[in-house]
Amino acid sequence: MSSSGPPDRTASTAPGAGSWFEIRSASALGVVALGLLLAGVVVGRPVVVAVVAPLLVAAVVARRRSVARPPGPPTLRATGAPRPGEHVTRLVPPPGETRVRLSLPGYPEATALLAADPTPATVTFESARTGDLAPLRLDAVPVAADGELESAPVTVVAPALVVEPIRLPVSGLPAPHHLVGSTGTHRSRRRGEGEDLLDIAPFAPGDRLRNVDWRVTARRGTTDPRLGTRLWVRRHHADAEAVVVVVLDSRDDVGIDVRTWAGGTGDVLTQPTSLDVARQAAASYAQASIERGDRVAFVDLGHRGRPLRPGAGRRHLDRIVQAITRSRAVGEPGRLVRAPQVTAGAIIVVVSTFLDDDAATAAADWSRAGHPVVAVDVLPPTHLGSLSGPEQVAARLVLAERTQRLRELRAAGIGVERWWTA
Amino acid sequence: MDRVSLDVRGALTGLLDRLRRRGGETPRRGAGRGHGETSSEEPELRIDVGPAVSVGTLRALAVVAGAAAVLLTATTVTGWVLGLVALALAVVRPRGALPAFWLGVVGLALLLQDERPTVWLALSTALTVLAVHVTCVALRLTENLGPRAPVAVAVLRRRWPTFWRAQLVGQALGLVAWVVPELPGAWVTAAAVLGVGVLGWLLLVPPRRVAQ
Repeated sequence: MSSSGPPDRTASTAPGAGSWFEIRSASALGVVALGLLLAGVVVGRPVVVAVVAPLLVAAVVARRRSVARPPGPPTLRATGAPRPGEHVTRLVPPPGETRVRLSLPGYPEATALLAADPTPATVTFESARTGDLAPLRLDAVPVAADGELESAPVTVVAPALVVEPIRLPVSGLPAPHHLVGSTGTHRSRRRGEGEDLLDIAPFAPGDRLRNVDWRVTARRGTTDPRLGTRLWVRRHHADAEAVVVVVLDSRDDVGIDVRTWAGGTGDVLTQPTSLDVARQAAASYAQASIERGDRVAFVDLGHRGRPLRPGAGRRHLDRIVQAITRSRAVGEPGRLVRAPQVTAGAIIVVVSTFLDDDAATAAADWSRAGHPVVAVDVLPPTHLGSLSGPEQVAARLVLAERTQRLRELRAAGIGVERWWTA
Repeated sequence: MDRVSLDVRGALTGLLDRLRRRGGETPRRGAGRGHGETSSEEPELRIDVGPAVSVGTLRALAVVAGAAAVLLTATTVTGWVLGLVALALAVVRPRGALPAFWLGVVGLALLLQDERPTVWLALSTALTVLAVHVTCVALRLTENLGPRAPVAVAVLRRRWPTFWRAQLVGQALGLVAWVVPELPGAWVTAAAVLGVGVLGWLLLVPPRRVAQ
């Protein structure tokens, strides 16, 4: 979502909204100061009167001052297109003073005491995550009368951030076995209107006059007077396109620290997980394929819905990137009984951590069916040092199984690419 | 199977169950298997409010001013300890009745103080008036804010006029207190009590005007 996304969503808590009430600490200070003043007068100690007088004078001056009704809530607006990295949100406080508390899942709360200023405040946080980020929540308490009065808190929720993965250049897509269509960047074996020369042949019905090669015709077509004039034409290969199916295994969202693989820890958004890397890899392959002139389809292994059909062009790439960005497993996906159906002869790019058999089995099935398959490994480098001894053994066993799985894929002729480079 | 291998098997079962199968399904945290982040880096939400003073600075100011007030007013070790403890509590948790408790301790020490009017007393009174006021203002500014929270300079600028005017009144009264160390006579005392009553009424029961 860019800065021109949906409008700010605001929600104010109803109790007490629209009225001021005294702050407890201010009241307590006032009462104690008043008591000391009285005691100083009664006991005959003017020093005590002098010491508490500024507090009482300030409180009285502040409370007798006219105050407007509590202002409306602050506004939050994200700036710039959301990209993995630093996210900046502008915070425009209402007139007067405002005490704010900002909260975002996975981050410690931040607080501040602001005053209305022509230059808006900014809220910044780092996040390496892609996809749907939790929205920033702001609790604001208007403060008046030099801190003597405050109003009920108002809650503002910033627009949700949807962070698209950064797309990187990709090289080394396998050559397609099966070509379709009459446009594209691949050379078909059929005759057509492409750029690559097939042969030079005598003119035949169906040939276009603009394909006549007049030099060859002049050289070979009219020298023998017994034969009539023969025209020679240049015939070309047809252009064709391949279909690339990007398969994203969104069921896994694991990071460097193996202890966190089972979940149960709070969200820490400063490091990308395997799903963020998988999104980047899938989007990069999709973009590279579309730039090559291929048609691209998208299948999410974590979602049993209909896949995105093959298509080409920038708008289709936007659709695919959007689907990749939003991809995440919903609930508990069932076991893969068989590999999803894909276009005949399509190049398959399987992006997965290969921590279980499903993605590897599907890749092997597609390879056996004659598809060129690329397996993209997005498991981050694992840190086992913090595990206990038995846990290390267990983790090594799991990783050994994964290694064996990848080895079997290579043995089946499937290219295995490692994407995690950051 | 010996004990070590049993332990290993138990750990394996635990981790493998978490990673691979639980009831025949691959376990996933809500929308994925785990969420794989390290806890080594502490993420941070930063608020930039322009020119600002951190709450830590204001609390340090409260500590210095508050400790000075305690040392100037208390005359016994017990008074110092009680005042500093109350100050520490108020600085750590500057909300509710804790700042008022510290003020009460300082005020009590002042009431129990018995010093002759000297030049030092005049200076001491002026410093005490300033220190107590600064401490209370600093504590009030940091109320309900985190230790690294910024307080915009614009807020301090808005509160400055009231501060210096109130401080001027306090210093003037301190000068009077140095000149007249004890209230002379019952009529003056009665007038002072009446003044306190008016002040209390203004403070506690004011009809608040609201500008539309």
